[in-house]
Amino acid sequence: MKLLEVKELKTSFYTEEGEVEAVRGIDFEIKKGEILGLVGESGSGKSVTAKSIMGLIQNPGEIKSGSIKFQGKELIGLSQKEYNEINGKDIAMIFQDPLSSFNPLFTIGHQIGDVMNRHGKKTKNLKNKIIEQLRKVGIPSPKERVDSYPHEFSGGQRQRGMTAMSLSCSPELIIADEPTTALDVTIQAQILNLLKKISLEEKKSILLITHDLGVIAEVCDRVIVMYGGHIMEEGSVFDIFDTPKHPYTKGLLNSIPSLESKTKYLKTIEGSAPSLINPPKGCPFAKRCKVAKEKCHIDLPLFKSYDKQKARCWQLED
Amino acid sequence: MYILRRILQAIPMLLIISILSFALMHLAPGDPASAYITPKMNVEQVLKIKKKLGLDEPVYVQYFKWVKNIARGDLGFSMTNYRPVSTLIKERLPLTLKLMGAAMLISLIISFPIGLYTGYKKNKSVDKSVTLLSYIGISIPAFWLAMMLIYFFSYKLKWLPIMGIHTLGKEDSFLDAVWHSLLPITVLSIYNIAIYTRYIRTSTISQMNEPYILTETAYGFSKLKILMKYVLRNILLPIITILGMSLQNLVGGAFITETIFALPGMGRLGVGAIFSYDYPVIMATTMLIAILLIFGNLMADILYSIIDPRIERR
Amino acid sequence: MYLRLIKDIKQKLAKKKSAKIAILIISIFAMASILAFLSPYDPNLIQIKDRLKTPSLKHIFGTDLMGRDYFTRILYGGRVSLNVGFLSMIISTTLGTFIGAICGYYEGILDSVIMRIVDILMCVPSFFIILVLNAYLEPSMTTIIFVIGFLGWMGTARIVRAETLTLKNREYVLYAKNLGMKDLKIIKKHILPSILPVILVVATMSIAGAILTESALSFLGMGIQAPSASWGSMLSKAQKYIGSDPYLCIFPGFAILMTVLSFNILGDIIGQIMDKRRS
Repeated sequence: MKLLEVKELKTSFYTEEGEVEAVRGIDFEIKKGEILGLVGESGSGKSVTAKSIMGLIQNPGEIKSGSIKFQGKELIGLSQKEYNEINGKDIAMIFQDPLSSFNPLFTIGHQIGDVMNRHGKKTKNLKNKIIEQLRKVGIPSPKERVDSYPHEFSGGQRQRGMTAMSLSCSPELIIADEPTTALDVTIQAQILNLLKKISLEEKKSILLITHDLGVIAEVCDRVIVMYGGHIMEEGSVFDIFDTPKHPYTKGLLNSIPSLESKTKYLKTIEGSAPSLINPPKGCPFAKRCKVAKEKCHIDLPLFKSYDKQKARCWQLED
Repeated sequence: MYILRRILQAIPMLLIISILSFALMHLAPGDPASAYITPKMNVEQVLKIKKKLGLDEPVYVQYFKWVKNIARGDLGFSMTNYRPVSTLIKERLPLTLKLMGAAMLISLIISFPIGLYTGYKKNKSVDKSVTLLSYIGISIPAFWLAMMLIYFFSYKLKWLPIMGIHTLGKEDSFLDAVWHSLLPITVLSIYNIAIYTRYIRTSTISQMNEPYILTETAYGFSKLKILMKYVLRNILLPIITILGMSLQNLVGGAFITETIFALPGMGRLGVGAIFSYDYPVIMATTMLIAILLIFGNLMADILYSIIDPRIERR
Repeated sequence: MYLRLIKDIKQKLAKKKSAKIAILIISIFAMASILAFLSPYDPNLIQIKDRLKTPSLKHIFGTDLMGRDYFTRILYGGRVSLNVGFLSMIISTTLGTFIGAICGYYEGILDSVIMRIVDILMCVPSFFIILVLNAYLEPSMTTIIFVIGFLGWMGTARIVRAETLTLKNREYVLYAKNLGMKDLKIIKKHILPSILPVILVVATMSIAGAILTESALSFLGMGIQAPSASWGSMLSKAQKYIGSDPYLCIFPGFAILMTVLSFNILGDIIGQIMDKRRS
């Protein structure tokens, strides 16, 4: 069953320098219980996609066109009030930096409790329920920690707390925006395992946004690769890592340093991301692509499908 | 405990200020004894008077004697009217404190909603007028504002009294005192209203851009609720800071306001003492104001540490 | 590097209408006070027969209680205010920047001690002290400038120190240090240009503050002495006549308001430009 269905989503920001086309027409879906990874560089449009789904795009930005259907219901065009009913309850977000994403003046227990109260769980024993949430995400001594302030937690525990907050109202979809970027590598693994466990046990869907392919490999079922506001490739984790089709994906995989390789230099993708103000015509990756043809600079490639994988590249036509 | 530590830190500050005040008086030109000396006295009589005033002893002894006296509550005698300084202070301090307190309170009550609203809405036109008014508020010289207000409300409209704190015969009337206080408190408040409003507005805007506010929005809280519960709490901190910083200005304003409106408070006492070189009063006033400022800042710090859990209070 | 910064500021200022108005007003006042000597009237010449004339074509602002042309006195008063404001700003800003930068850069015991001193000094009622000092030191323009300047550096020092602390840990400073650059040169070349904008804002605001303080002092009688004109002292003399000749009160106060307002607006706008540049 399709939990989330995004079609032709276009989101732009109107700045002094011009219109920044952050998301230029993307389509994807998330099934129930699935973990979808969204990978791309900074500026590829991943965060904006997440914010678009939750209706968090504010002035000077707006969703220009497209459709986002959640559980069959269209989200674009909802009033702020209607979004407020869904956000936190049916769709919840885990933010990148848990230190700055929690209000420093309130205890974590209080903030989680507020969320639970907000979405109608007017139950007695609220505190116990909060403690239960903290325990579920693996925070030790939750009874004491529920009254602790954000700065009294370690980075990893804070992120667990954030995860607890996102789960508190049992949403069907969790959007994790770079949840491990601000954490140490060892803690990263813990958080990722936690997310995997939750998805499995509670049958929740997760949209995991990251720039780190290693994270994708750990956790995700399927992957979307974004570049320059477009989706370049999509497929299962195996397909993408085993048989990447798009030059960008290949470049990304190549640039992961490996302990076994004997090269002296780290492989990089030369060049930099295109400006999204008056973005170049054609494939956004064309300028940096080693196998680009003339056609790539003129027309945006169409998707070519391979069973459950698809990629958008003119090279694949041959 | 943090609170204890802060209180202990205040003590050396008081000591240093007492030394500074004392030094100030003794570096001053003019002989403190000159008020008591007439040209007709001979050398012996002059020496006797100096001895009585304790002026023949070395400076540090005089200082210790002074501090000892203060601790006992003896602040000396005014050289202009020979009354004990402590009595003078007892008579006049309450009025000044009431004026300053009322001004601060009123400024806060007026500026808080305006600052919050303009910061929240960021409505262009309201914003511009409030900003302009704030600029004027901090630029207007208090004594001139007082004169203009007196001119309009006392001379022309005859709604409010020109000066003093009581009308003759109505010394006990509270309402009468309030009526007399209206203009002085207004003058005292204008500057602070301007400062607080702009500061609260800036703080509100800055808070609303914080990442945790985005989190709260992403969890379905309405903008209004976020403002009233979270932003409000978070801006308490900068507000406490600015309240502490505005004490200095309130004190300076009190001097001017009491002088123009001829109010029998500490401000006028201090200004008068400076002109008449009344050293005991000047020293006592300096110490008093310093104590007030230190106490005010101490309160602000303690309040801050209570609200902000990130400050170690153990 | 400084030139580019100044050019940038000038460009941005030119865009804002309010900034242009503020600069215009300041320039008018400055020009007016410089050119005050062109006035056909002697600001100090007492002509009792002409006393208390209301504004007319002959005397644009009327005459005061001694028959002196009020407009000319306002012009000369402007000289006093602008001089005091500017010069005391120089003192307090230089002192404040120096101390603040040293404290922020070197930190350690020096920093702690000086900052404690600053804390204590800020608990001292500066207005009162200025009043007292002026009483002792035979009030004159020089003493006022020095007193206001020496009692106003603390705020600047705190701000400069905070900025220096932030900048000190920026990478380019660390690199310079690694390369063996001398401390003083680092401060001059890397830190000062970045804190210059902040200093500019603080300086403008302190001119405004100094003008207000000077006029308050003169109003209370502890500032510029007669027969020289200062807007504050003019106001204090005019107090008695507020019922009968209100124009005597309106003009000097209004002059103070406009001057101080212009500096405050200018400082604030520069501050806004700085904020935008930073983000």
